This record gives sequence, structure tokens and C-alpha cells, in this order.
Amino acid sequence: MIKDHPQSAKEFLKDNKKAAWHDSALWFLREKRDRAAKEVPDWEDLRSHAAQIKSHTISHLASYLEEFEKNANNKGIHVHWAETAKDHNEIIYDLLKKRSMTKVVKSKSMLTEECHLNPFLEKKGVEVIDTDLGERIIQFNNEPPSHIVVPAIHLKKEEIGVIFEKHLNSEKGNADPKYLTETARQHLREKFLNAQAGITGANFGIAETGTIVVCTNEGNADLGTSLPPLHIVSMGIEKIIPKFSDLSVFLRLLARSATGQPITTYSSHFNGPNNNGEMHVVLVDNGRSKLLAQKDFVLALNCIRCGACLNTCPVYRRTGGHSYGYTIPGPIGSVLAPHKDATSHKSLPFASSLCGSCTAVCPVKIDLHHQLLKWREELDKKGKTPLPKKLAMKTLSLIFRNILLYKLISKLKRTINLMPRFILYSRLNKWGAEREMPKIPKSTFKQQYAKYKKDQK
Amino acid sequence: MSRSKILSAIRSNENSIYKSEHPGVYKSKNNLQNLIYAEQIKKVGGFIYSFSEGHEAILNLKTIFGEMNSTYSYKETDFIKSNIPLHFQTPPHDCKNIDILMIKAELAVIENAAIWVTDPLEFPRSALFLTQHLIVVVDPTTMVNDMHAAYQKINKLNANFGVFISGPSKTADVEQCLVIGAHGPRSLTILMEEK
Repeated sequence: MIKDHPQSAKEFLKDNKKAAWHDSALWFLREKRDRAAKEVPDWEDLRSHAAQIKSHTISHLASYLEEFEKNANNKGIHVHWAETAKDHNEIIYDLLKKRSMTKVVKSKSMLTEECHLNPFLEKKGVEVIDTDLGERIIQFNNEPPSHIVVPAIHLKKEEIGVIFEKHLNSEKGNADPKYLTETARQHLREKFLNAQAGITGANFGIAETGTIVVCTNEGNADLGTSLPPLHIVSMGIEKIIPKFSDLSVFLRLLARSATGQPITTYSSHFNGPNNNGEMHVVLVDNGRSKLLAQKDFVLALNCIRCGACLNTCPVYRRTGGHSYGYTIPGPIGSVLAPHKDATSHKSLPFASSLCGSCTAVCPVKIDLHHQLLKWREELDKKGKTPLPKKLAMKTLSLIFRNILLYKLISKLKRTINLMPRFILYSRLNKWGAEREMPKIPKSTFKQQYAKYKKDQK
Repeated sequence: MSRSKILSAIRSNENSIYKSEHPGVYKSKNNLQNLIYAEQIKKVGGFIYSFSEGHEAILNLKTIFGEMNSTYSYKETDFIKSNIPLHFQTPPHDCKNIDILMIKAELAVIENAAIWVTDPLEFPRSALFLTQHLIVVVDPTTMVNDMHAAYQKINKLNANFGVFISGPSKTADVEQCLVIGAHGPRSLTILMEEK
């Protein structure tokens, strides 16, 4: 049973200081994104171009997938098709089993998280090592990522120090990021050198050439694929782009939107198997084709997983990724999750102030806040709006539609100022649980305007 | 058969959405001309010297990181010599003890300091990532303004692998604190050839 967002958020907010730190750490990323975007004078043109490429691709997806398969095959890359998460996991296990491989290194892939590949392979006796530093930290801590780009952002360095003490025998009490990174470097170099297979995600798959592009800062995807003889790529079908030259648009947008870097340290183009090696691509549907039929939601397939909408979201920043209870948190997760299961994730479209900041920063122009609003409508049709919310909305609607009632309430609401705290801040007032209520002004806007007009004369 | 099921599901569903055209190749506005490569490489954590300052570049690395023993360079110079044998058929794991690798970039991009290299013919690709320090020689006539110009120049990738590298490997996964030297090279030095 997945907890509703407000419940889980409450747990996150118990540690007030850490929650405030989380908020500022992500705002720092958002500010870096802004500076990077401003450095590119044609930023808005790039966004429009990227959105057009994505929308075009999505509306011709089947033929681009076939083109990708054909061109990849010509380069000696094997292509597999997985309808579901289960198919995906089984295809990968089968590839490993046939080669008697039990040691795998993996670079960051949200799709393998979505498919729960690690627990599946571990049950079969395969060791899967996540090699992105943030992913390795949370793998040790046995928890899911809380962010799609910086997966361990919910942990303070002291907590990471303790995790490393336990798993890597690091110095007690040493929480220096440089020391911790070096410790992980030594540990993971061993793992890279001993791996039998490397699994990566895919940032882009190019139909025209059958190429896979993977972007990292740490170089873990490159070490994980240049050493072992087998490279398996786990790729969602929406990651296809038509042309090799389209990459210039996306690579200019991706890192700037994600972390404010002009490009990631490594943008690796896998154009065929490594010397004496094998390369396999698993194309995964897992519900994506269903989204194609829903014109109100189809733009969500444009997503390039940069995380900009998470970093800017006032609700994400203040409640943490785990509060969402879905592989992908934040605004993009909140529009994707209900497609998987509208009942379990019914609270997510409400985990938004609808301020629209997500839509404004999205490099591929997904209409995120419109989709969140649309979901609220859909959920209401399905009878999934929480009763207090529904009653409040019905009451407000009644007041706003009736001028006399509106005037009466305007007069009455000033009595709120006179209410004793224990009534005003009773459990019925959810808003007041965490914050002070604003003081109601002595006169209404209409009264103030009338007075202003009179004074003018 | 998953393949046909997925494709037919996509075909029947994609018909319900608006079919739009591909917008074509992005016309670069070329408005980043005032950027200077040397400044961009410093921003991404790299060092830069002119090729004639090669000795200083090596000295800089030794001052920061200490003594270095095994080196491989694509060509012999008076400041770096190959003292380990590498060739295309070298097992990829044998590159694990390289201290300094010097390569030649095929092109360099000014807007993000990235250099482009494709699957090297003279050593396994693992060397690019296992080496502790990477030195990249850039011919200034191969520099382009932005990524659009870069892909225009690359045109078609024939090698099995090509990579843009912008600065040394890095991470900020611990508390958003930038640490240089994650899994790959701890430093990246650009040696700019004289025009």
C-alpha cells in the first residue's frame, strides 16, 4: 500500500533542518540551470526545436523504432523487444545466464529502476553493482532514488559517511565529500575490472544510425562498457530521436537543464560492440504505447529526464523525492504515475501548487501543470478526489457564483481575526497545521476602492 | 511475439495524435562567438597550455598529484614518451595502471570545451577512462563554435564508439559538493597546438 503524498511528506518534514537544507540544495541546482540557460541567447528556439523533434518522433514512433532496429542490426547490435517490465528483466537475465555471467556493473538507468531489475537479478544469484556514486550510496542503504539526476540528495554527508563506514570500512566520522568519493572510486574500480557485463540506460537512440548515446559526469557508463565483453542497453521506446544531427539540440539542452553544466563530462556514442565484445539493446514499452493514445497526456513522452522540473518545484523541494512513492518523483513523476495505477498514486496530481514553474523550465516543453490539472479532473471523474477537498471546492464554487452570498461571507470572514487560536487552528484547518493564517484586512477591496475614488474627488 | 505486439499497439495509438513534421536541422544562430575556449575549459575543471608548454603541463600534474610512471602518448614528444606498449588488441584490463594518456582530439567545441574522439585504433577504448590523467592535443583549426557545427563536421560516425569529453570526470552526488576525479581521469589537460 503506497501512502498518500501528504502523509509521507509529513515524515520527511519531521527533520525540519534537513528539509530546509534539501530545499536550498535543489534551489542551488535551479539557479545554476538559470545561469546556464541565460548564457545561450537562442535558448527558447532550442526548446521549441527540441519539442518539435520529439512530437514528430512520437507521432511516427513505430517506423522510427523499425529504422533504429534495422540500422543497429547492420552495426552488429542485437535488438530485443520487451512489452512489460517482466519481459525486460527476463531478457536481460537470459543474456547473462547463457554466458554464465554473475557479475554485472550498471550505470544510472531510471528504466531499470522502473522495472525493478536489481532485485530480480539478485534473486537469481547475479551481483548487480550500481556504479553512479549516488546510486551506489542508496543501493548500500537499500532504498530507491529520491531524484532522477542526483539520487542521494535526501542524504546528508554525515549519513553517507556512516553508510561507507559500514560497507566500505571507511574512517569513522569522516564525512568529507572528497574522501568519500575517493573511497567509492577505489571500491568501484575493483568492481569495474571484475565485471562480466555492463548495463547502461540510454539518453538517446538514433533511428538513422542505430546509435545509443549515454551521458554521465563520472565516466561510469564508459568504464562499465569498455571493460566487460557484454554491453546491455535498457531503453524506453520514447528515447528514440530520428537523426544523428538532432543530438546537437538535445545535448545543448540536457546538462544545462539538469545541473547547469554546458554539457556532461562524457557524452558517449555507442555505435557498435566494443572490440571482441557484444552489444544488446532492450527496447521497453511497459505502458508507454498506451500513453500515445491520450492526447492530453502524450507530451509526457517527450521527457528527456533532466530533472529540471523537480529542482524548480516548490512541493518537490520541500517534501523530498521519497514522498511521491513512485520511481520518478516531482512534476513529471506525478503525471506519469497515475497512468500506471490511478488508485495508488491518486494524491500525486495534488502534490503541486500549479504555479507552472515546471512547464516554464522544461527543455522539451511538456505541459506539466496542465497535465496535473487534467489529472485532477480525471481523478474526480473516477471518484478519487478526497472528500474534504471536494467539499471545500464545492463550497467555494457556491460562494463565488452568488454575489449576495459572496458579500455576506466577505463581511463575516473578518470575524476570523477574532477567533481564539484553539478554534482557528483546530484539526479541521489543514493550512494552519504548518503555518500562520494571514490576517484578514479591516476593509474589503471593494470598500478600499470606493474610499480611494472618494478621496480622489 | 513482443515486437509485433508493441509495434501494432504503437501504430493503432499513434494515429490518434497530431502528425507533425520534423523541423529539420537546427539553424545555428552562432551567437556564442565571443566565448573563448581557454575560459570554457577552466569552467569545466580542465587545465590548458599551449603545446610548446608541454613540460609545464606535466610539471603541473606532478606538483598536484605526485610522481607518475606509466605513460602512453600517440606521438613521441620531448615532454612525454610512451613507456608502456599499447595496441588495439591489448586486453582492455591491461590499461588499468596508466598514469598519463596523451591523445589527439578530432575536434573541439568552444561553447562547452568538449573534445571529440572516436574509437582509437592504437589502444583499447578503456584506456580513455582508466587513465589517471588525460592530456588532449587540440589543433586550433579543428575548433568549432557550438554543437551544431560539431555534428555537421562529424557528419557520420563510422567508428564503433565516439565520445565528447568535457573536463575531468566529476561528481556532486555527496551533498551537491563538486569533487573532481570520480571514476575516470582525475585531470584533463588541453595542449593547444600553435596555429
